[in-house]
Amino acid sequence: MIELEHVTKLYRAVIGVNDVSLSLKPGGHGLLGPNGAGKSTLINLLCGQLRPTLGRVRVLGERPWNNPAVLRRIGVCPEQDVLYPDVTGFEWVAYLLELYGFGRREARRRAGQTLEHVGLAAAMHRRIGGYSRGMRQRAKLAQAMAHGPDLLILDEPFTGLDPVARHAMTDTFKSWIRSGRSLLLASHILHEVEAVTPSFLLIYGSRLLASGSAGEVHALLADVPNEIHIRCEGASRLARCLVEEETVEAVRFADRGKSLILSTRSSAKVYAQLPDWIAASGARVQEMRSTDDSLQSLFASLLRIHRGAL
Amino acid sequence: MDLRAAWTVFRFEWTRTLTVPRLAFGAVLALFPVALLALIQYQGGRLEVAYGAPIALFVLIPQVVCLMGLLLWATPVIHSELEGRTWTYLAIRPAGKGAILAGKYLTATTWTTLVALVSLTACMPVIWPDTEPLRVFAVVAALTVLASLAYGALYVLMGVIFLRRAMVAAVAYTVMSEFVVSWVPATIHHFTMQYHLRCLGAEWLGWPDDLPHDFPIDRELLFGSLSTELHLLILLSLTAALFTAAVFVLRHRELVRADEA
Repeated sequence: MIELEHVTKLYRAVIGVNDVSLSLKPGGHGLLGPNGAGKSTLINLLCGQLRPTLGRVRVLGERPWNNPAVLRRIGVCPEQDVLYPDVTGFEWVAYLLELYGFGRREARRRAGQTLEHVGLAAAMHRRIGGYSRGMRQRAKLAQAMAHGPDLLILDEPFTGLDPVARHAMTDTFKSWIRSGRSLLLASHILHEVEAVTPSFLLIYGSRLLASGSAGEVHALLADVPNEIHIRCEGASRLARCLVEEETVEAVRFADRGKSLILSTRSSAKVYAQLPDWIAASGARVQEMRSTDDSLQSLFASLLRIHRGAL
Repeated sequence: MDLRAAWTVFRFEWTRTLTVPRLAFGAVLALFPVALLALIQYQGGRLEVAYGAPIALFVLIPQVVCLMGLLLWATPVIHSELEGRTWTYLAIRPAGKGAILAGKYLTATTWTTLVALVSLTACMPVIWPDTEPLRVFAVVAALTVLASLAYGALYVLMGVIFLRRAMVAAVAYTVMSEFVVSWVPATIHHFTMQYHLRCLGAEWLGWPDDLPHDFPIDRELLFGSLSTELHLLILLSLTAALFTAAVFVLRHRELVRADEA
């Protein structure tokens, strides 16, 4: 479905995408990376808005740059907000459908149907200028889906949506994938992607760092240095227990002795054994979290693996 | 080029032009020459220069109203979409960037032509020409249509080349080329649009070879040495070439804003 061979995109001296190679089969895939990682550049390459400086891009078997045959088969929901304040959502989606070659009547029929599908039935005849961010996001999704593409490319599609709408949209994307069509969902939030598809592409610092299922990515991170923050009653007892374990590299106290921070290179093993250690020490845990759980540090670790530093 | 898509873009863009601020601006632009001519008439009586009325109408309508309108509506056709972050939504359609540009060009030229024709109509009672007023009206109207098409293509091209300072570049080019070079008594003025427009105007108005001795324009610069048909052909060819160049540039240019990428 999507093939990239050593693709590099340069904006003069700035690297947008750095030597990315991948091959994606039809189905759902998540493109995960923090802001500025290169997701939007990659999406622009896939939907033919940018040409690679080096390498080769193929979408649905063809080169996407200035290629109407590819554009006809993909639907794109860019990150950019819709800013035609003087036009209704219905007029906008119908207009964009006509640019796919649909007749006016068919375009209007599809526009109404799709806007209803994304939950914008009541507001579709209101001007976009009066829409909330979530409503604009739904209109953007409608314009991407309305022509029935084979591949849907979504850049941060959950931005501005309330929890109910997120849930509904997640279901929509899942049923899209189940219907045999393909989807590439770019986001900087792990659980958003995880809720839709188990297949990940991790991009950071313009590089594709890893790809595979959630399990594969977790396995990859198993031996990455990690810190676990534990707030509990009986922290000193737990600390005594932990320092005797080989998998624990260091333990230090925080919050005036109310918490302890455990350092390890074998987080998977530690997480597996931690309940037993806590039970043995008699500590009462109030809160436990990985201090390295931010996506940023996860990607930093992956980048170090990518460079061979770990 | 997908003409149906171009028509769709035109229809959509045309609806968007019918807003109170744009209509108000159109009215101001249309009334500017009327007010100016009324002021001249009020202060100095009728225009004293021979053929004064057609010259004034030619300068004010195709050369001022058209240029002003096109500067504002044709030059930023792509830049406004980029600024509004709406370009991507259009560019990812299979209709192609050429059709989008054609629709927007058509909207800008139609809008400008209509404003200019309203202005011309309103000017006529103020500066009623001594001879053949209807002929003067028809000729200036025809020149208005030609000027809108030609300058529209020029400004659209400048708009896709200079995305950020398109209007500044267009003004600079217009002043240099259309108002300076077009009056240089050398072959170079053949490459300006104003030269062909004024030659066509003089021909269509049937101005005689023996213009009055106090006529302010050099006869050779006014009439040139080409036939009417050739002037028309050159003007239309220039228009087509400029628009084709604009489509070519747009098709081959990556128009993704740095902050979007």
